[in-house]
Amino acid sequence: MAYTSIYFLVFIASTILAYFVIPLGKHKWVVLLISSYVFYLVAGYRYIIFILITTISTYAFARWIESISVSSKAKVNEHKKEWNRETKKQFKAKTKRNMRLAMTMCLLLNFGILAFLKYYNFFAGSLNDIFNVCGNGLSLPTLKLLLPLGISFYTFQSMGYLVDVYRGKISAERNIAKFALFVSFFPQIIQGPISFYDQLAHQLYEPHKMEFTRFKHGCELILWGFFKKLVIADRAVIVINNVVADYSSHNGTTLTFIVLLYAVQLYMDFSGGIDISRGIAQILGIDMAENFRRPYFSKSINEYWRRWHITLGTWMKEYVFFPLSLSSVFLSVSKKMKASKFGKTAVGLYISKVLPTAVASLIVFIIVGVWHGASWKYVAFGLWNGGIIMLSILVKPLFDVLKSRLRINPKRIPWQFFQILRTFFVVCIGYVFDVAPSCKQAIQSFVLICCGQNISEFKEHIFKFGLQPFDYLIIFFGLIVLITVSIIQEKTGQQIRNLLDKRSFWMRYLIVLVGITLILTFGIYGPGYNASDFVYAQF
Amino acid sequence: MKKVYIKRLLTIVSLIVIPLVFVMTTQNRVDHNTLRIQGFYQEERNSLDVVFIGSSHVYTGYAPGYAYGKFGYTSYNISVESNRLDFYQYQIKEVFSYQNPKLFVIDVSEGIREESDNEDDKAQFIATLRKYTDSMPLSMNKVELVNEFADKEKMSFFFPFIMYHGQLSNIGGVRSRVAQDLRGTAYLKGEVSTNHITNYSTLQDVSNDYSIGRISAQAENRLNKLLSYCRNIDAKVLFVIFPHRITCDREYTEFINRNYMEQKILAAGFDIINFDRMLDELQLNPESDYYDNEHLNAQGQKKMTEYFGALIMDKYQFTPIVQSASNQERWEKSYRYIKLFQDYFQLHKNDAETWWYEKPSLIRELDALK
Repeated sequence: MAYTSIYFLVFIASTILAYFVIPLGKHKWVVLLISSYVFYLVAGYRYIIFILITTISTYAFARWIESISVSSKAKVNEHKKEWNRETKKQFKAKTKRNMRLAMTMCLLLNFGILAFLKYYNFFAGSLNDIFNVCGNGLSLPTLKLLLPLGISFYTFQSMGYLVDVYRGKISAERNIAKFALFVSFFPQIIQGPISFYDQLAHQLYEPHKMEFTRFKHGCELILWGFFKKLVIADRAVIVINNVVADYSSHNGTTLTFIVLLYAVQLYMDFSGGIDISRGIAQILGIDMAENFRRPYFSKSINEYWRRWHITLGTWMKEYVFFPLSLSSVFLSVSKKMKASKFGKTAVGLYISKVLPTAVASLIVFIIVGVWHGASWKYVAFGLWNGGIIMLSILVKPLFDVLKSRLRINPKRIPWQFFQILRTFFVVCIGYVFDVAPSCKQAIQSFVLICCGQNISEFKEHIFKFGLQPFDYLIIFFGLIVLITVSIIQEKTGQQIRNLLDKRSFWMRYLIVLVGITLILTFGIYGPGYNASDFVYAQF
Repeated sequence: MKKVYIKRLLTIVSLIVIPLVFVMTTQNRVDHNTLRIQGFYQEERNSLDVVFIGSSHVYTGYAPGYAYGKFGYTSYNISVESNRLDFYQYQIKEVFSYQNPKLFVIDVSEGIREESDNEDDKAQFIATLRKYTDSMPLSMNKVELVNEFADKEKMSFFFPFIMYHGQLSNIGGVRSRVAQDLRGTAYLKGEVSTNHITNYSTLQDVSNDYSIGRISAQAENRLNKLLSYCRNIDAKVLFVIFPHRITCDREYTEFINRNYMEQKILAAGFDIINFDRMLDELQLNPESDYYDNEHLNAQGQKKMTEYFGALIMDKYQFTPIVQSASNQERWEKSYRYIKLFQDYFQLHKNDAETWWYEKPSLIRELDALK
């Protein structure tokens, strides 16, 4: 059931109606659980087993971890007077070990499923390439594996919950049905956002009353999501798919154009989908985490990753970056470097201080890259982003000196504009890996983009990529609307929905009416269009 | 109910209804098929004596308005480009929902067609289905037709804007449809014609050729299904094969395959006229009356209508329905337009190939001829 299908609209309308009409009192969450599982079953009933394994194992292990912790505390209290400090310390260490063991088992099981389904063929293929080079005749079979819907999202979300229970940040959920809802909540299952238990769970379980303002704002957000997805992203993707299908035959100008168009398409597709998810949740009385904050207005790549796919970034920071950068290995390396001769110099002291952060960032981005897909090009994508961030951390003092020498005022608009353009340029370089069918072709693209520009040939071919001049015009006007909205949001710090509320009824009515009509008229949907799936659904 | 709730409800409903009405009326493909089918529903109820069902052979070969002027009976073509025998029974059923004709004239020229499972053939089949259903109002008959033949995206058959939205090229077509709506009737009664004339190298004389070919089991099955349906309808049925020009081996094979169908229809106890063998009786000039080997041009259409109209009146001897004054006026107007149309063809017969059907630009030019 695609987000853009009429069946999905009927499905959400029925769910919303059932949620608010069926008098279930404080058990309203049952409607959401049933809807989420119906949605999942319709999307691919064969894969229900995987989400069930994740739900049951995470629930059980979290309960186990908590019970170890609780019984340990009880035992410590029980023997408070008998045990000396050393005994207590040893007992606590043993408890921690047991809890860690339980957590590791669950992490291995769930990430193991994800890794097997998503990365087995990639590893088998890569190993087979190595075996071929070695000529030892070994070969691993490739398997026909299909990814269960939203496996990356629900695995990450569940494992975040498990780690939080281990850390004692939250209590383990007692009710397995409630926990199953947290894992499978249908608006977020396709492409996130990746929610945190303490932020989402209580909202799911509390009964909500129908509020007209929430309903109105939710519908407006859904409408905005459909506009981005159907009018712009799905139109742009036609060109991208046509060019990528015959990637090697295009010149540098076409590839430059495609990378820029991809930047537009990816943002519209992903953020549009998230808007639809958040809009549905908002109608149901649930505020889901924001996943995008106008990322192309970022002034540095670091900031970009704080504005793009925010929940993945937060998850990575919380569960990968901090554990890595604060790990004993990283800290001891830093300490050793500080103590060395090199560490006594100003440069050495700075590097030994920031090295754990820089290396942890690189590792995080390699993981982010691999999370995007099982291919070397995604590893390269991660390396590019992580490498830039690592480099920016390491050379920051140099840049600061340079800026002060050149007397650059960071508050001046031309400088800020330059920073935005520079960041967008760096982001687009990363997108070359995303767009190209392989890592090798991505490198060839860089050569063509630098040395193979041919504007006249591009002009000749631009209308042969599946879109008519009128379609490009629609994309162009759609972008103007988006940029205008983004500038207003950036300046006022408010959502357009809230600003609209201050306008007259007829003004609001007209805007929504025109919006719906534009989507119905210019949206890419229906049998003749082959509307693409959400780009992030495959993750 | 509180006033505020009524206001909210009205707001929500209007936000759904207004855009939907807008796209449903403006975002549709409109061509001669659409206008022809739309015109059928504009006919006064139970006012048609004869209904023609078939494909392009029919709407290019027979002019209902001209037949009315010459013979006094009312008729209509609900033919569709590349129409399939599979759809005929649904089209007959649809006719009975609005009209009670005395006679159905059913062209079976398309009956020899063999469908394969390749994607192009399937797409063409669905395209033909759409050409018919796009203008068909919602009814159980439509639901059954779509359910039987459309394997996916069924919703788009009931809401065609899902298929055609956002195409600027549709805007001209929408104008034609609105104009016909405003006229309240199709002046040309679904007729389409051209000034085009094509040459040929050798013409085969088949006037006395009764050789029998064969059709595929699938095609025979389709024909049998249609024949058994026609046995139970409350009207006379005349099967026809509109006149073809046989100029090569492939066309000859098709001709003898049609002969096979003719035999099957006769054996089932129905009347059939095979005009393939009657070019002389029709006084058709192969050099000037065809626009290709399968279809007549405007000149051929006139001759065919004159002959066929007389034959129908002679064979079935029915008294035409007495029309209401307003409907009679409409039909007389239609006859005048057909005459203008024929004059228009004479004016343009040496011009570049042009197709004429009921669009505002043609009607304007015909008005100028008055």
